Amino acid sequence: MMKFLFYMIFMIPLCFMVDMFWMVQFLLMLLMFLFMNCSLMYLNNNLSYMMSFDFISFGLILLSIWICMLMLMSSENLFKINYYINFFLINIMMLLILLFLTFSVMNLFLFYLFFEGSLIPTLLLIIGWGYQPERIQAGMYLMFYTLFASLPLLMGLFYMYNELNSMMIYFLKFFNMNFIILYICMILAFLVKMPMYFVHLWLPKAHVEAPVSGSMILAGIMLKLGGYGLLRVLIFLQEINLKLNYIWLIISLMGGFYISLKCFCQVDIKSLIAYSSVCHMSIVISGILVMNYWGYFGSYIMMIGHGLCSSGMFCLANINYERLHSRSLFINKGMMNFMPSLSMWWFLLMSSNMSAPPSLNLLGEISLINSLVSWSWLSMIMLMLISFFSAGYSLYLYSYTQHGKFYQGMYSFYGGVSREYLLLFLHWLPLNMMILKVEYFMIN
Amino acid sequence: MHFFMNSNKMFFLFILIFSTMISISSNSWFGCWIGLEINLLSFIPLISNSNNLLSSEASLKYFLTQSIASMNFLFSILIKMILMKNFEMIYFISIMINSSLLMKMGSAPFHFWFPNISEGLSWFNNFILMTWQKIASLILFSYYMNLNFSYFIIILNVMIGAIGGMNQTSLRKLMSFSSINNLGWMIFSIMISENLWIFYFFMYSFLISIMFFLFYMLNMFFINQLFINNMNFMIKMNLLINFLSLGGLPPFIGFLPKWIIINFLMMNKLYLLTFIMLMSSLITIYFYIRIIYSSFMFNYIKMKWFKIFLKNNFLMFINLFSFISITGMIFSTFLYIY
Amino acid sequence: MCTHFFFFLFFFSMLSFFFMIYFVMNNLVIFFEWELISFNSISIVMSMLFDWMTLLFMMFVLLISSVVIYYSKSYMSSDLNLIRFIILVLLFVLSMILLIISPNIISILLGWDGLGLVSYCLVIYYQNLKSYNAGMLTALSNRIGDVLILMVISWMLNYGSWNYIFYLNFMKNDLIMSFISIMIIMAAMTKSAQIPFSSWLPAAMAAPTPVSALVHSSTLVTAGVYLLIRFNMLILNTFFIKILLLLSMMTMFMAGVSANYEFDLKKIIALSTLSQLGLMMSILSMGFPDLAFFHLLSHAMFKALLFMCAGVIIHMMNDIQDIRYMGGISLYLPMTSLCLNISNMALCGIPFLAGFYSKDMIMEMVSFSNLNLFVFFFYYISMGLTMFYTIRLLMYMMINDYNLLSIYNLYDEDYVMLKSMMVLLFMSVISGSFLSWMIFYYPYMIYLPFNLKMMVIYVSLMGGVMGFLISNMKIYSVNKFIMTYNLSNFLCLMWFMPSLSTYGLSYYFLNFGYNLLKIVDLGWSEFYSGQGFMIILKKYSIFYNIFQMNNFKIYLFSFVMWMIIIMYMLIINI
Repeated sequence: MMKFLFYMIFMIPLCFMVDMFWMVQFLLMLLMFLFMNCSLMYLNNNLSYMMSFDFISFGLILLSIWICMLMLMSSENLFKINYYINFFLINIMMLLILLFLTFSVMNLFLFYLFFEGSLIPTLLLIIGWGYQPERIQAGMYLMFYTLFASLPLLMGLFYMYNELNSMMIYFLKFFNMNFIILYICMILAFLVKMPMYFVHLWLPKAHVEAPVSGSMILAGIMLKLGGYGLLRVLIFLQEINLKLNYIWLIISLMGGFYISLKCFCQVDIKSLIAYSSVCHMSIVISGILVMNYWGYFGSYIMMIGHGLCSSGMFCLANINYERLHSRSLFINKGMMNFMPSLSMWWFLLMSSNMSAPPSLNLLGEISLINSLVSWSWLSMIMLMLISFFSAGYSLYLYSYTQHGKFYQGMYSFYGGVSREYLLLFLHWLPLNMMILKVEYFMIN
Repeated sequence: MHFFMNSNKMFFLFILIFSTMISISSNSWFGCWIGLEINLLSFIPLISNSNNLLSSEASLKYFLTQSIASMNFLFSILIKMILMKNFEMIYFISIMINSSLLMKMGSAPFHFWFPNISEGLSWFNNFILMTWQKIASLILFSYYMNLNFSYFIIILNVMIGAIGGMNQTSLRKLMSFSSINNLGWMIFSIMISENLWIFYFFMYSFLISIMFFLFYMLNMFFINQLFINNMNFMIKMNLLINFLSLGGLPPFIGFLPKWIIINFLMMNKLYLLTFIMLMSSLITIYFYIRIIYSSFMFNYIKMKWFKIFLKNNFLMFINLFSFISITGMIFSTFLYIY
Repeated sequence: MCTHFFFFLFFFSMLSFFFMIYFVMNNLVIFFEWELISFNSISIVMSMLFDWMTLLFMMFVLLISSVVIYYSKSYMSSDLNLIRFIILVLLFVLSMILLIISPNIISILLGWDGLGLVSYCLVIYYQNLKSYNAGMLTALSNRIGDVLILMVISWMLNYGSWNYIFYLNFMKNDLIMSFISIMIIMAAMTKSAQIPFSSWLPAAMAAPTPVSALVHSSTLVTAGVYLLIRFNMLILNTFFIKILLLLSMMTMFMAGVSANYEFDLKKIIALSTLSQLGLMMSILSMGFPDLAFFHLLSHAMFKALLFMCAGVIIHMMNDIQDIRYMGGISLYLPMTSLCLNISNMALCGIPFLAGFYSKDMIMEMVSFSNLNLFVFFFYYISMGLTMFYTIRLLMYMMINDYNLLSIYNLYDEDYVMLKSMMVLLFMSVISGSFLSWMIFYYPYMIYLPFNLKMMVIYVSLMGGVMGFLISNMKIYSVNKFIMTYNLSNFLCLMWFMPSLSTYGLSYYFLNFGYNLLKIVDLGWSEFYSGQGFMIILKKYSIFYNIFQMNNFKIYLFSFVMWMIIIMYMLIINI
């Protein structure tokens, strides 16, 4: 573990040097491949002083390194105009280190520490490199929603520490904390992070106002922090969860349906993608809270699949934005006439978004539907509506941006650059090819 | 710093430090009172500046309030000595003594003088007012504490510090409200143990010192002055890091004292108090972030001719301290290797 | 490049033909299986089942698609993005094959979803508003079926395996199986455009003609029928099959009636497809899956041929599809009108062409089995209606004079298109008899009274006469009958189902979503979280600031309050 940590820490001085942008990106790709060499045979692998990783954290660390690498690839615009590029690189490295630490520490309190800590580089990304005045409000919403919910989590953690005298995640499964207030304190933070329906207001703002790298990391990993936290925290809250989970489940499922309807009313591409993230995550929350194995498995796969898919779609929205400088659907239409090769990528990522085969999202959705219907067949109604409207808005986005006449006010711009195609390909490849090796995701 | 150029000020500064020592290390209550009086008397020349009407007014107000508080203190310790024979813990007197000490500190509900006076002092004087002046009063407070009363005071402090700071644009008043907020945390820490309070106090004054030094260098007193054309990027970053650290956000070092205090709070099962303190620190984070908007946003509308020139360029020190602020959490773990 | 793919697909078609004969002869079934993941006592496998039904259907699909690709070499020659078109068609064929060969509901989902998406891409190929709307309608109608199959997957979890082939017969009487059967029937209905979901099929004619020939005549729309054929041991003799019978007969009838009012060539052909689909579904629900399969295959042939001829004619008409502009086709396009006539006659069931074998056998089996007056009536009336609109179409296209321009030159010598039509012509003449000799082990025993047997001919003749008369009547030159305006509207617009499926449904959901957005998301949610807190905090801090204002009265008042608090504390002895 130390080797990866020191690898990343020593990349920080590299960020201060001139013209090291692509070097940093390349080194991150190398880190990805080095990390993949770790074995996954045991419960806690690569055990060191306070860190180890097990199955779920391995996949999520891989996803975070991958997305950080792709973030750099997509932000070449910042490099070209030299918009505080050194600080940007440091920001991303700090974020990666904090995320790596979040997923690999074995202590629940340290997890909280780095969970909160990863908020600061994200805030800096949004407010620093975003391009609209609304980003201030977006950053405030992000900070305060997360902080407001995670301060009770801090209280709950200290309560548990005083009761149990240990915060090691491995030991928590021997205890049974069956208090309602503790339960609500513990899971509220993760539900807000996920986000659940009523507390999701920060997400459209933050995703839209962030630059492409901020959107990618938010959609790719930061939402999954909530899922990961839920998966860890529910270990010792099982009894009370079984009694009370229907509240969050019903809110999530109904909310997913409402949000998929709201997607049809959006005129901003990024806002549509952000709302679709909430919709996917609502099913994931439901899957985790049901607490059967299908739900566990399905939510993990869906987290990874959704991370890649949403991040790819934000890249696509940015490709359009860099040319037309607008995210509005009324301006970004008829793109197939100009960039037909990009239409294929739009279609591939859109079809993965609506869980068409053979993407990871399909496997995740099948597993989650299985777990939810096995919990209660009434959830079938909501799931049918959510799946149907998911397809609806994905197709709406695809057809509106790609087909039809183009906006007459477009003057001239260049077609796709191979860096952009490589970026999209690297998003699409794990998403659609990993289904051939599904036992890689099977949590043992 | 112009203080070290002026021998009068140096003299009074020296006496100020001495007076606190007298106050904390005395055997009887009288000694404490003497220390407090000398503290008051030696601080007045430090802050009164005949060139500036505002600061001489501030010094006058300071004199008035602090002398009332000292009189109160003297009166209550005399009553305690005469009526209560000096060893019992009677609540009425403890409330009197604590109230007078709280007024000396500038804690709610006796804090009304504090933002006003802050507004009239220079940054260095503010620093002394917010850090050093609290030592004597807090330690004396800990000698004769009344727990339930203290809880009430803590809640008042913390909430007033948070809500009062929301509507300010003057940096000095803002920092005074944040000082009131932190005073709440400090009162709780001194209820637990003096050692803990020393740690919190040290962290707080470390962070405050960086901040005030920065503001002194930039010669800034209002939030809108931060949006300046040629602000150095490193200064902006320093501001950002230190304010976030002061707010208590992980992974900066300002989180560490709050962390320990929350631990003790939960250990003593004071759940509601914890909740109130945490939520109010959330509000303080809000107005800290509002101050540092200018350093978050890399480009904002700047006026062409508004430029600053740093007063004494001690940027080195600031950078060093900010580095400690970022990495302090990691290095502090080295203290706990077992 | 089209010719390469043509040869490739044609080769595979012939290959599957020979395999099919071998498999039918030896009653062989081959099963490939590849396990993706296995946990919790359930395993997700990707499996392929090859039996004669699969191979036969594959042969037909590959044959039609190879011919269509060759045809589109000439039809879409002026298109800039021909390669994209070919790739989409190939993807479609791949999805169809995945659907055909799967005995496993998860791999059916693969094919089903793929079909829906690729047909969406194909329908919106031309970039105009009509294609856009049609594509949306197609995709969303198909998506309903997708969602239902997803639910079937979750219900089938109860049985421990998704290979439904193994346990359908065994578990027929289970309660959960009845849920599954409802959902499967509904999914098949969405795909094959039966009554509640039939608005997408005429709308999907906005696609290019080769796409219609491949997709909307033979492959996509028959996927639903095929699914029901696979599941038929589950659903026979249950209650739901009778509902399917009712709905499919209504479809058959409605499509036949609406085709009489239509003036768009491709829409008439689409409605005739719809009518034949209704026929397939209804014969399936009467309990004869083999006949449904038989009719499926032979219908594929002549319908694809009919679409191709329509494509040639549309090219001649300068891309106008309205039949009122047409006429005199038989004079100027002899080969095309030959194909047109043969396919139309096969459609009507003229003896010894392809359609005769399947349709006649269907009619006789229907008359021979248990039915009520309603079913009897509708079957025969629909047969008559088929003849009716066919003769009407022929009258418009062939008999009268060319109505578009005064100076014209129609040519038939597009050999690429002709060659492809020839292949299908051959097949549409031969395939009926060939199939009936091939796939039925023994002939059906049908014993009917004379008039009942001749009923088919009577009805067809009557339909033909009506068609001839109605295309000659003068009042018909006015667009609709003025006397019966409301009735005509009802019958012509497909019993108002398109408006119900589109505006009737989507308006409520979109309005609801908009209201949710404005009232909840940007309204009350903000009030109770972000903005509301801000308002409260600001109010309190402004209120607090008044205290700070060095007002002497406030200080005195707070002094008094503080004294009261101290007294209170003392009294309760803190």
